[in-house]
Amino acid sequence: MSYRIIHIADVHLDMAFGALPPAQGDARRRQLQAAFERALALVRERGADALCIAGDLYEDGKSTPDRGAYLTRVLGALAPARVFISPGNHDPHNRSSLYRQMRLPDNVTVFSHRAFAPVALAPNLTLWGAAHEFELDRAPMINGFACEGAGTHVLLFHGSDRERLPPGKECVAPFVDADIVRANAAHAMVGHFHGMMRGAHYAYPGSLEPHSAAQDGRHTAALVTVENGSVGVEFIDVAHTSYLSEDLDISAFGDRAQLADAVAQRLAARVDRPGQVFCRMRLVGSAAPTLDLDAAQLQRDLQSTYPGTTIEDASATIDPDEAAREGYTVRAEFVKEMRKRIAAAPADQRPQLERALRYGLLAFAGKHLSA
Amino acid sequence: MILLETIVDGFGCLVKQHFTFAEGLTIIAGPNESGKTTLTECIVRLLFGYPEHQYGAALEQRRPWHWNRYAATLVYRLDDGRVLETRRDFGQNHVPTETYERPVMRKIDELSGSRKASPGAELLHLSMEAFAAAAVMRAGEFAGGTDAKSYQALAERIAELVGAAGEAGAQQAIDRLNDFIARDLGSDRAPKKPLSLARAETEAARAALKTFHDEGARMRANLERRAQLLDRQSAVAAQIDALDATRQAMRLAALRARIAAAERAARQVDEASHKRASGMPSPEIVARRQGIDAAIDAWLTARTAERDASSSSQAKEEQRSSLLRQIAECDAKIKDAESTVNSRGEAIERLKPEAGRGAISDETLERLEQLSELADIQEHAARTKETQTAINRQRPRAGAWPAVSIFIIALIALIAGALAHLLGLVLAGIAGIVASGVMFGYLFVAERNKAAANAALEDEAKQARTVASSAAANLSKEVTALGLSDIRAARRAAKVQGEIVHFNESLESAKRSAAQNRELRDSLEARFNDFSQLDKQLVDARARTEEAAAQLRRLLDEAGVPGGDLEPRIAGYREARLDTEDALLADKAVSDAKAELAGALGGDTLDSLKAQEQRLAATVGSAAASAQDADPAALETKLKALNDEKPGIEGELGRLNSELARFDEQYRDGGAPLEERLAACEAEEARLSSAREAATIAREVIEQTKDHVHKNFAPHLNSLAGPALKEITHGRYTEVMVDPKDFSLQVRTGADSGTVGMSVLSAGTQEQLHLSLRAATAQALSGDGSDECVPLLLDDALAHADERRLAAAVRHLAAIAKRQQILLFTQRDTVLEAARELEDVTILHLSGPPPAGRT
Repeated sequence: MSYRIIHIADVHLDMAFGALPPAQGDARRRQLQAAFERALALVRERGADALCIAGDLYEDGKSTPDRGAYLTRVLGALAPARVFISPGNHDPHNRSSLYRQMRLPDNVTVFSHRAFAPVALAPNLTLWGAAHEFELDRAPMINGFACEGAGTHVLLFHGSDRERLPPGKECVAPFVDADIVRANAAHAMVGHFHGMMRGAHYAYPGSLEPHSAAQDGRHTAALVTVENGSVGVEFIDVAHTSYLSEDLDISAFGDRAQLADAVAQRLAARVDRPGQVFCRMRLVGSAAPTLDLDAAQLQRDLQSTYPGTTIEDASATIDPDEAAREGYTVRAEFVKEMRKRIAAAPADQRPQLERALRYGLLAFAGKHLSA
Repeated sequence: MILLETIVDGFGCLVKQHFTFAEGLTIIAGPNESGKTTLTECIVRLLFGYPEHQYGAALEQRRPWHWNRYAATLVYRLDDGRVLETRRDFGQNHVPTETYERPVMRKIDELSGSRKASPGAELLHLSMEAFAAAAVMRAGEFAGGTDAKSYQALAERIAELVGAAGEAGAQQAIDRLNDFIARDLGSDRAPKKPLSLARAETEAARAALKTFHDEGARMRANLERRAQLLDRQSAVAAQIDALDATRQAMRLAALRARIAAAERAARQVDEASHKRASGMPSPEIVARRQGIDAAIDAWLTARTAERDASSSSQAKEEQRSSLLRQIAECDAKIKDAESTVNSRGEAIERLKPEAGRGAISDETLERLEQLSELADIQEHAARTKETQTAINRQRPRAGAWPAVSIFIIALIALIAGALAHLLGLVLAGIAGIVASGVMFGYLFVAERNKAAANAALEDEAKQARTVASSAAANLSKEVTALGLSDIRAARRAAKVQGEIVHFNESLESAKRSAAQNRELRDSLEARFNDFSQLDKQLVDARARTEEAAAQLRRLLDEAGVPGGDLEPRIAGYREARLDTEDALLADKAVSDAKAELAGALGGDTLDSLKAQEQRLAATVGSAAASAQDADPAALETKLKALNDEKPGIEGELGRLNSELARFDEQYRDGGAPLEERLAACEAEEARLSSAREAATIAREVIEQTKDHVHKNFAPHLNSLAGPALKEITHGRYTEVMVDPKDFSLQVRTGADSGTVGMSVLSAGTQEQLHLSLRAATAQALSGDGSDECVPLLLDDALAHADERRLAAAVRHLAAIAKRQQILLFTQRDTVLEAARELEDVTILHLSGPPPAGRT
């Protein structure tokens, strides 16, 4: 007889989207909640016996008691399916944890300690869960632990495969695939990486929705089936939102209106679901002398139609090389002096000096200066 | 660089034209639309190509209208003597370009290529824009004005050229940056500007987020408290339920007790009713029972009192005699005591005068005795001294007469001897005189000593007297203080005081004795009087007894109790009454039993009580056992305490729930919007701050660069324009001072003279100076590393110049052209006329575009 588990992670309910205005942030949070509810619906649709949440279900410090009441309701409604939660680094099981304030329904179990604790799912099938008790727990996750007892053992935790850490990702509760085998476990249901990832003995379903343009990859819920000691994993895409990047050469456009039209046309062609597809558009090329570009205003104008669109001005107002060669002028000498300073500056100061160069050239050209 | 030839295959309106230029001034004349500007641009494009990104329109603009070839060639000589030829095929989009060195026609790859190949930029070190701005002068630049605006326009133009190849002067750029910083960004000192506002927004957002976190922490504490209260509420409810169950059990027990009591009472009613039926009470006895009982009691009481009084009276005689005796004894004692008091009092009064004023203790007396003894001793000593003094004073003087006698005798002897010539007598006389002298001397000394001794003795006597007087005075002072005269009086007073103390003690004792005896006598008298009372009491008691007996007889008669003497009649009454009382008791028992039954039933029936019992027993269940040992008062106290606690719990729960609801309402979306707002504010602040910093850096570097470049430029212009000015003014003005700050112009008449403004110059001089400065600027712009002369293209530059000064301007241009090639495009005949009068001036004519179809 098989035991079916829906495995999700990194829902991040109530997270803040720092790059967005609050209204758009609210919309994104509603999308996260909708994705979570789709995942919950999968439990019934697939006839799962349990839902396992491998951490970061909500954001500590941002969630209110109302969120606790919501979780109590929706998770309780899954009964008789059981729910197991292993708190992660964003929802650690500490003093202020929402899990401690909630009146947990009978079908919900929240692991509360760093040490793995067993729960019998079925005859000869044991789930071992562990919790983060504080933010940024860097101690190895599985070191020295081994499942006890007969039958099949599966793990549920929030941690980082340190051999496959995505760029820029915080390494919390590190482990490697071999640790799972040494722990006498058949499979580990893990959370923390936001892109779906499969290892020999573990799976990350990824976050239910991407949170930024950097989070490419699939965003799924995993259906874990344990039967006669073997574990099968099927990844089910649940995300409804996506990010894309576009480059637009502005060299051909002589005025702002023309440029704005071109940007709108490009967005219309690429963003088929405004509010669910978020475009980051880079303006490249050399701006025509008559073009007075204001990327910030352009971005603001697009929000109502294409919420979440970002416009990055990577264009050149005037070719600094040309300016440097124009003759013995103050502008040419200014460009040479700024380039000298840029070359001599530490890497962290260069962007500011590049910006100063740009401002100087804009000022000479009599163009709009914008912060 | 000298432009030698331009061969136009096709460029705009120019088709198959060949132009050869002079090395100095070349006048290219032609009417409007003859191609002057087209030729200017052709030369510029041949030199610089199409470096701009959007070149298509510019390229297309000069495509020949009626010619299929779109190409041109420029031949030019560099200052080092090399002659180069640049060919461009404008007909192709990428404008293939080839540059060759004549005459060998060696291709110069670095000056060949496509549209961006730029011999002009490579050789002159100028961009196309800079060359077009500086070296190409167009109509309107020389309007010929001589007012301040004209000078300023020139200075501004030079500043623009030096600033950004004609786009803007450095100061303009600086001003734009300053405006941007001040208006669009602001600073901390400008509260209404974007940066300050952004910082204020950030602070507000930060504060709001902190408030959320603080409130969140408080809400978490509230949740913990609420959980505790809910647990407590559940516990209280459970306890109340348990206590209530116990109380129900107690009620059940009480109910069962009631039922038992009711059943018992019912049985008692039956029994009492049965007993009652056997006896009937006497109504007369019943009606008078209380009165008869009271009368019997009264008679019995009176009779007892009478007997007591009678027995008391007999025993009283002996006691009375004893009391009289005791009273007499007391009187005697009192009398003795009073006598003693009187005698002692009198004695004390007699002795008081001798007692002195103050108490004389033994120590005081001893001290007085010591003073007295000392005074006596001192007195004795003083008297002794005085006596001796008196004796000495009275003692006759010793021994003078013997000496005198001897002297006389000796003298007589001497005289006699002398007269008698008796030596022995004379010697005896002399001896006698000597002896008398010695005796006189001895007596003198002795008298003197004696006098001294007497004086000393008198002094001692005086001193002794003084001491004795002092001692006596001390003693007198002490005794006087005690109210006494002398020591004897003091001794007497001490003794008297002792006697007085003794008498006082005796007096007090007598007083106490008298008082005690008086009290005793009073009590004995009172007791004696009681005996009189007893006699009276006996009489009264007998009277009362008779009266009570009469009352009793009457009542017994009324009650129908037969008999004669009272006692048998009372016995008969009591018997009858017992019967009556038994009947009454039976009635009472029935009544009591009924009352008890009614009390037990309490308005219910026995059946209903049993039904209640069954119902209650069903609900109580196991709690019945605990009710057995329960203390009802303690249980009620506990229940009250628990019920009193409930409102407090509910109230606090309500308050916590309100706070939680308020928090949820206020922060419906959690803390994420606040974090987003803070992130947005911080990003905005950082953006503005970064922009401000970058703009400030740009401004500072432009300022520094401007200073540097202008300072380099000004001398260069001065060095080029000065000679020109000297030549133009025939030496009247020798120097041009260009202010490096803003390129404003001053002129100087001599090395040691001051500077004056341009207004002192004539209009024509100014125009010519203007041309020189523009030419010098174009040359100076060519920058470091380039020695090539920059050719100037004046495209109808003199179109608006004053007719009267045109010739002079042309002549000046010719002079400039000796150093720097000038191509002057014009449509004015006056210019041609002036040019024809000059040597080394080449005049070319443009005929205009060929008619359509002529190709």
